[in-house]
Amino acid sequence: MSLRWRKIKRKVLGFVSFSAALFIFQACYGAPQDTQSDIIVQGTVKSDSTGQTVEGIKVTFTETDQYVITDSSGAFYFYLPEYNNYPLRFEDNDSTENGSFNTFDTIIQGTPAAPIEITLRQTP
Amino acid sequence: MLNRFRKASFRHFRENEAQLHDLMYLFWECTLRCNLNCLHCGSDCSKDASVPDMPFDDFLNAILPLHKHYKRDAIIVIITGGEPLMRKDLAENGRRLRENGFRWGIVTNGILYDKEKQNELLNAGLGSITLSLDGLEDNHNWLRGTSVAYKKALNALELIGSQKRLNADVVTCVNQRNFSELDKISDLVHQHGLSQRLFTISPIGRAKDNPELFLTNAQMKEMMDFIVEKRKEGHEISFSCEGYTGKYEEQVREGFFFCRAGIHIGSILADGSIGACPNIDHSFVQGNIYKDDFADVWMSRFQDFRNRSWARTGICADCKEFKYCNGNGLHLWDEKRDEVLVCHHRRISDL
Repeated sequence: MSLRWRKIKRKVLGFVSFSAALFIFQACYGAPQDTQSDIIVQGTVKSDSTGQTVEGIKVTFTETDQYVITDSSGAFYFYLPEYNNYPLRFEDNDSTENGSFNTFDTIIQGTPAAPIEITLRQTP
Repeated sequence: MLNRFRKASFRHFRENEAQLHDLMYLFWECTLRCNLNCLHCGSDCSKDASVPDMPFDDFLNAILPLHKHYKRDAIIVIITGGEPLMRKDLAENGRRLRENGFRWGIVTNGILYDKEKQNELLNAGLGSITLSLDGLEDNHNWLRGTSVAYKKALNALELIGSQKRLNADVVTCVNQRNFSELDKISDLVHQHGLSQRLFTISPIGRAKDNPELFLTNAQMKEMMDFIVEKRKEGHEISFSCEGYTGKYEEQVREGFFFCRAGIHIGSILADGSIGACPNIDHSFVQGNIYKDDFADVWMSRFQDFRNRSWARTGICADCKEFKYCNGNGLHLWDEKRDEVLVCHHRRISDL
């Protein structure tokens, strides 16, 4: 029997056996399958006074308190659950080590398609 | 009549799936190191495992050619051990799996699972997790061999239950000591919004010489009735995929029993061995990623997994239920392959 016919047979037999769990399963001791959607939110944080990227900024998705810290090139990257909007908080996380910055809140409308760039106000 | 028709349809479906053998679920035994000494461990885990952790690139390079046969996002990689959180590069490995199109999940004992770790794993695209909880405090700690295991597991339970992103559940290995507190364990898991799978302990690995770990036949049946009742109450609780339960099929889990090892489930073990579920006897190993192409092995070997007629031996030889169970779970066969180690159906129905 060809592969194509076997795949048709799969659909027919799956339907007539009325089993809701044909492809939702877990192996012995294994974790569940991942059936949910998520997205990558990524971007860069810069200083308004120097234009340089800023390390050590805590970026928090305030719906769930999931957070990530910007790296040495001011970049951040995290997977987040699928939501309609993405409220993000940017906070100085390392005191004065990489300069001092005001906290900034923003809401990304819809699904961010491209890396975002955030400029933070540097405090004296 | 309808039920017979459905069961017959499912048998044909299962046979068809064995022919198609689409890989959907891939275990990676990323380490044999573990931070516990569980009484029932089915692996050869130890704190100082002689087998070194597999470099992530070895694993990734072995599975990348799967794209010739499957969409990568149709395959989930389940990282197991040992204890996967013993690896400091776990989140980075998960992130790279996502970058390459694979979804991923972990199985953990919860000892090293705290808020920061959960955050790190979520950032890296973790989508699924299973936590072990084997009793209330005394009995969980007894099985896990340390006085702190329960507190750590409870903390992990609360963290995991608070994250809607995670497809999560709790695994409980039922034994003589925790049998009487199943109701309380189930309520605890339910309160945290998670589903629960109950296992019995198989006479393999470290477990086989410890009678306290095994249920009597009467207890096994009582456990099935318990699951049926809890499901009626709305608890998401099920019996594991470990064995065929006869009249309890579809009452104690979704769908009919189907051991998918080598059909939908593959594995790469810590030493590079290619197999199916990691607790299946090593004599079933089909190759090694350090010598063989994983995709080729998956596509062309695994015959004993996909045609189980060899299992019609011993007590299975004349059993009328064989057409439904196909010799029970494959982890219940040893290298001699002359007798299934446990027949769940017989244990329940002989009463």
